[in-house]
Amino acid sequence: MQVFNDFGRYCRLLYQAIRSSTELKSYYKNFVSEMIKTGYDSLPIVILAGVFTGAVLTIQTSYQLVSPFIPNSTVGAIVTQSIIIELAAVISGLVLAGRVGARIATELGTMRVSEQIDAIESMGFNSVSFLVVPRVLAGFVMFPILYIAAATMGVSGGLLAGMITGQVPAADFMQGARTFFLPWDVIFGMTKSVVFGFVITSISCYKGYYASGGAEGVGKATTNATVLSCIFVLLSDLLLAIILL
Amino acid sequence: MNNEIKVVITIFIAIVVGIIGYRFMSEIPLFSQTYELHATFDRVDGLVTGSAVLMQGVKVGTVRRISFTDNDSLRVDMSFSFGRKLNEGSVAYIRTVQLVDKAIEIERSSSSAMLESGSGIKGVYDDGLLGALSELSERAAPSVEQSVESLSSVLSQVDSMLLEGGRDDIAATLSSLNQSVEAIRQVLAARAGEIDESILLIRNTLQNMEGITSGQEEKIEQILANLETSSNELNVVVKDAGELTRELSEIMKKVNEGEGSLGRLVNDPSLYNNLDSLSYNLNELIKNFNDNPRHFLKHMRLIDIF
Amino acid sequence: MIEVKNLKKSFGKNLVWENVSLTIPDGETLAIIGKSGCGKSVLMKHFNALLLPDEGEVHVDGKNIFDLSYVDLRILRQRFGFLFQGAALFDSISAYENVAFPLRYFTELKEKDIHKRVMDCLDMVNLSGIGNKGTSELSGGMRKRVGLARAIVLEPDYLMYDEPTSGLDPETSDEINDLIIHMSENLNITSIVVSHDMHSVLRIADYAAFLDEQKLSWFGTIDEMLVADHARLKSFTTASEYAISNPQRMNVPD
Repeated sequence: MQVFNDFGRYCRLLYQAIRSSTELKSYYKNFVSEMIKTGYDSLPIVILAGVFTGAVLTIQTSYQLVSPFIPNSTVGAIVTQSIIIELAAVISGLVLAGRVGARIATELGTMRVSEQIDAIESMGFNSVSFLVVPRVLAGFVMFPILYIAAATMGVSGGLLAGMITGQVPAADFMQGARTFFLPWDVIFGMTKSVVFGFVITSISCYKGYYASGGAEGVGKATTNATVLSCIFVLLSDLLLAIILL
Repeated sequence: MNNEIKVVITIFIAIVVGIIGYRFMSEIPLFSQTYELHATFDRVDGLVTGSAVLMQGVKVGTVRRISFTDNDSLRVDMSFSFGRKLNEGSVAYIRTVQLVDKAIEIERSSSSAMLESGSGIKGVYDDGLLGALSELSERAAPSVEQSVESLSSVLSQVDSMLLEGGRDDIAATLSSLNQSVEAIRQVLAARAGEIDESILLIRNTLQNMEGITSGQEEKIEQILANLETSSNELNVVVKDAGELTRELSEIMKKVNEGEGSLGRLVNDPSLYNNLDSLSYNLNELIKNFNDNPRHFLKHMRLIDIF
Repeated sequence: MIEVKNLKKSFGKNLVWENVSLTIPDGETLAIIGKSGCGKSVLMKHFNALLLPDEGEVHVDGKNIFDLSYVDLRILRQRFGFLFQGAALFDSISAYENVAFPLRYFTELKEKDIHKRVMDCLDMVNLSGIGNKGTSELSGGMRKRVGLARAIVLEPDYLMYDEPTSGLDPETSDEINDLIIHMSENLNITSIVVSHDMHSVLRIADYAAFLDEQKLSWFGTIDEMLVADHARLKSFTTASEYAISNPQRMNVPD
């Protein structure tokens, strides 16, 4: 019962957000600052995650494919495709579920329990358009940007790791990567990142916006937001794979 | 720095990096104009988007797109990254590389005119030795099939011929022949002594002959010369016989096909009847031989004359 | 004028109060009193529809605010100033920006005029010097005063104070009380004050509403309250001995 109740309130919040998304004037400033916080400030962690994912993937794939019959270029193909289709979107999604999701839930939760949301409403603002819309929109816009960063850095990291360890020469890596490179994979990865951006920001906004019960309530909302974001990132990843492939 | 500018710069850099990365991965030259050609093939088999385009064994481009044309052939778009243009009249071959992979191999012509980007070149589906063999067998298959079919129809005709009463006749003939052979064997057994005698006589005759010939070498030589002439003549005869055989074979073919009187004769059961009566007469003859061998041996004496 | 008719509110299965009916004339000050957790703040948040009741109506200038569309309601809310218990300052921006905040979004004022208005309001709450301090650098009393400046910056017709003096030392409490009196007398603002601090209530309020036993137990003027024959109200008000021994002194502004 609680699940349906939650889902209903979540949908109502989204409906309110969509209805008030036209009030650009009231949330433009917040939108810009949210894009900074969600996108610009997340770049380092996403780049770091991308580089390490690519490097580890290259080293481990070349370790697994020890066979004279498998050319080195196969490693490049596997690493590049895995990163573009899956890992750039999902790893950055999980990292950002922690970083962005927790921040949003804490911000909104604190605003709720310290009556700042009431204050905004009592001044005559639409608190949803003021607080929720810019955060979700920033997710929509910035997650694909972060995906590009993660994907390019992931492939570069894989290339570098292969070169430095001497397991996969750069030319072989790139040859494999290019042979199996499909434009559709990029579109698919991008679509994933957009969906993850929406899932993470909207769930965190919901959890924060309806937080209650002081500091403990905010902590609970933050934990729930992060956990739920991760779960729904993985779920939507599976769903997208079924629908789009 | 202003937040708006930060956001705009971040998005701008990401888009630029994305486009460069995309072009780099797709092997589209990063900054220069792309050089693209297309070729039309009846079939492409293993060729896919991203397959290599080779020239003299070096990768010079990739297959961008494979699409059906209006007349059901396949148009393959290729992009080149080697920074030069192709000569007019170059040909694109689809070939197998590394056992299974398909690739396009460009063979340049010596024409001095260059192809502009976007133009088409001739496409040939070239599937190598294995392909040629299979193509040959494919072409031979119908005629082999036809031969087998006609052979089978001949056999079935023979079969039906045998079934239509002929079988019994042959069986009867064979059994009569069997009887005749048996009779001959018996005769030979019974007259072994006489035959021995005859052989002895022959031996004596040969001894006499040796005696005669020892004095007449010249005559024999002459005879041999005559014989040589005869054999020369015989050679001619053999040649004729060869001709005859060929003609006979033609006739047989016709007979086989049921043409002419002989053909009809084969189909005529009366032949077997005649054969039957022939073997009956042979039987009679052997009986007579048995009853009165002297009568026949008298004729055999003729051999003694030599 | 605010008229409250037969209001009932419950959270889930827990009834907060029911049968609440009262009227606040323009320019007067109402104090909502009662024990902690009896739903004083909840009642006040119904006056500008921050919370919705289960039953009943609230009329502001003759219109039921629960029937208004969201757009109209937001316009109405701009006529209400609200000082929250914890001041509810936006902690991501400076004190100055907090006060300027409604002006930036609801008026077409130029930066110069905004600055002038903000400075006026900060002067009014005796905080002209705080300039661009962050909200976390402010003390509790200063925060409340910034919150009050923000509440009055749009020149509201109604001002609502949620526990304006709680958690403050007596001297700062008096300063805040003086401010509230100043607002209602000089700006002719109708005020609603939620408090359990009888010391404040006796100084600032004209009317009192006593919430008890899940209903509006008593409603009347302050003078009536002091002589009212109501056992539970009496025990509540006499908990502050000083207030009851010096009723007249407490009721006089300085």
